Amino acid sequence: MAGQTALGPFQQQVLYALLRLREKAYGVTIWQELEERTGEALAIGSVYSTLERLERKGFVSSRMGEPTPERGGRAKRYYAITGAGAAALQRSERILTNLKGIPVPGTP
Amino acid sequence: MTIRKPPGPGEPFVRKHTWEVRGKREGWTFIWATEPDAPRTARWQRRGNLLFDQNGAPIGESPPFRAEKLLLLVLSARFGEVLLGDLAERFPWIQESYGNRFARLWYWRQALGAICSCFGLRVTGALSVATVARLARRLLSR
Repeated sequence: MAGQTALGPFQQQVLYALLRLREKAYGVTIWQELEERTGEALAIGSVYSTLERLERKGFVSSRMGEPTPERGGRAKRYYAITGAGAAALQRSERILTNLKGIPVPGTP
Repeated sequence: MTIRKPPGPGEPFVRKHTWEVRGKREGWTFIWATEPDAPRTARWQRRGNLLFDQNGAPIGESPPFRAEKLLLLVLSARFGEVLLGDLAERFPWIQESYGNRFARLWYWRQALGAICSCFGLRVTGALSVATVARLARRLLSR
């Protein structure tokens, strides 16, 4: 059970991005939010593969949006964090908090 | 695969439950697959390497056609369409900021990365650690 609900670091980041973006969370906004907050250039494929994994675990739900002209008439897929996803994120935070307390070598 | 004529200039493109790849030859549309939850309305028209809106006004340079086609061929209907939309939405911004050459390279990088991620997902799904361990144990026990 623990293995099923354990979240990787990137999965946690994606879930936090969904929490921040709320109803505006779709591919591009999630991608931009992650790039801005982490300061790293990301590939859209890695974002979608993570979202797919999270959806399969039941941590994320998705729905199709309306197509827009700036996307060439293609529809968006909006994502939202589920109750199970929020619980898994809380659990990950708790684990991290329990493990903290020892100073990282090299830090003042 | 069906081939249909695209709408004329200014004519709205409303074709529900289909997605398409425009062919190389101007004036023809290649319709390949269907997805029930992907409604379509406004769209671009590609003439050569340029994009035009529904009223025939130029929008800018188009994303690499071959990369788009590859994505639609390789990715599942569920993600191919949405991913192409996301890349199309960000492409003009990259183009404005870094130039057309860089934007095209960026697009190809994203497309190939998405394809690799997609296959990686399938491979890890089929070959989980437990499956690999079971296979290895069976091979070693012989």
